[in-house]
Amino acid sequence: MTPAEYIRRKSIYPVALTTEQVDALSQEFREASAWIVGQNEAYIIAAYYRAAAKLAEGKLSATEARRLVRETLRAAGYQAEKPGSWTDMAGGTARQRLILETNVNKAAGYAWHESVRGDVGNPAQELVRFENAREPRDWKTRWRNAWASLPASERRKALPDRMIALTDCAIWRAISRWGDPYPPFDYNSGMDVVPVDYETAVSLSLLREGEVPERGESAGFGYKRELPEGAPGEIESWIKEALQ
Amino acid sequence: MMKLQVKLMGHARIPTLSAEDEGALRKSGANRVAGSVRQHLLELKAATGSRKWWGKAARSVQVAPEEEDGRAVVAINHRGVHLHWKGGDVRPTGRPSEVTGKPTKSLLIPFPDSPLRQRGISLAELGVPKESIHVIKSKKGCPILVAGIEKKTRTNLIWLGKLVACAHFEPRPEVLPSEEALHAEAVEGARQALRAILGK
Repeated sequence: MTPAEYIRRKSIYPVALTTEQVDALSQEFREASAWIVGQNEAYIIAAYYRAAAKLAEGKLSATEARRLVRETLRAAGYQAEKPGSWTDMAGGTARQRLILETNVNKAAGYAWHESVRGDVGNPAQELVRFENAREPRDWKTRWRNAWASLPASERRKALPDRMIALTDCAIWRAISRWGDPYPPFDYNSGMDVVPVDYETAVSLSLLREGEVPERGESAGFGYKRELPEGAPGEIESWIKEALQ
Repeated sequence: MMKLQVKLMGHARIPTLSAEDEGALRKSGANRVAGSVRQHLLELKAATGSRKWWGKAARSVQVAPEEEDGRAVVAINHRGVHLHWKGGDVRPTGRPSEVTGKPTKSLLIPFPDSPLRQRGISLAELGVPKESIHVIKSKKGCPILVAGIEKKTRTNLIWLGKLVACAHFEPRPEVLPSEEALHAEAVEGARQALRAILGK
């Protein structure tokens, strides 16, 4: 599945979730649904995801994608309550960028993960900085803390002081804000992964000499086309109410 | 989007492999090529001092899932990488400008200290009313786009960028690893998979 296909297969979920509610959603639910924090208008969500898909497949630049969103919303008669503010879905450049980039990076992270999952020749990966941030997060500390929280069986799949781990190690979910095993691992994060080959993984003692890595499913795409039955706990009932 | 095709052919010294093992070799070779392209673009990012652009290009590198005749496809989905690699001319699209509503006749190349470049935004996103956008001439006669109201005295102006009819990009073969290097990465990826499968 390409990143663009991943985005296009989502079902629009027109419910104004908060950031905290989104953080509590299951990975399966988030992967299957198209939503925007605080947004319950389906046409606005659709405009963003349409532009994100085109951005993900290289048919638009980031600037052109934002323009497409503006033009789509204005053609639909959208008018912001506070033009230029964070809530302005057509004119707030910073928010437009956050929504589009997060979705494109999530789709790319998902597609990449599906490619490398079960790859015996590249059984590990390293977390490295792809984009520079003005105020970069302390990923090394986050990594060490995540490693310390793992059970022993998972700890041996990751290095504590270098951000390298087997692709199927639980540390990837542990460093993610959302519990996803693929990048980005937080909002506006410039961190992503590069593959680490079999011999390097053995030399770093992530695998024993002669140990055959887990192959995993070659088809791999665990994507659910239907929205799962349940969002977790309280949010599920809250969503049902909102949809009525 | 750019696509690089990776085709893994049979090799006389490779023992007879199952279809599953062949698939594993192909997958490893393709991922190794994709990983090397990611690494290469990150080196380009470091070399150029780019904060975001080349990093985004590196993030966009993917192994496309379709496989035909032993081929795997590595795609670079970030718009503009091909232009940097092969070179070419960029001309105005002629689409209506979001600011003036008139067909675009020029490209705007932001100055290094222009807010457009600093903030990575378009002229429309700058939020300056069109009455405050002016074209003035540089000493060499080049049209310059500025924002502000003190046009005549050239004070309190925001210098946005120069207007050109066409932007030419010279080819930069170093944007991607050489074909030989990519071939070597594909073979190495397959070798790593074979070693893992054989467990020795």
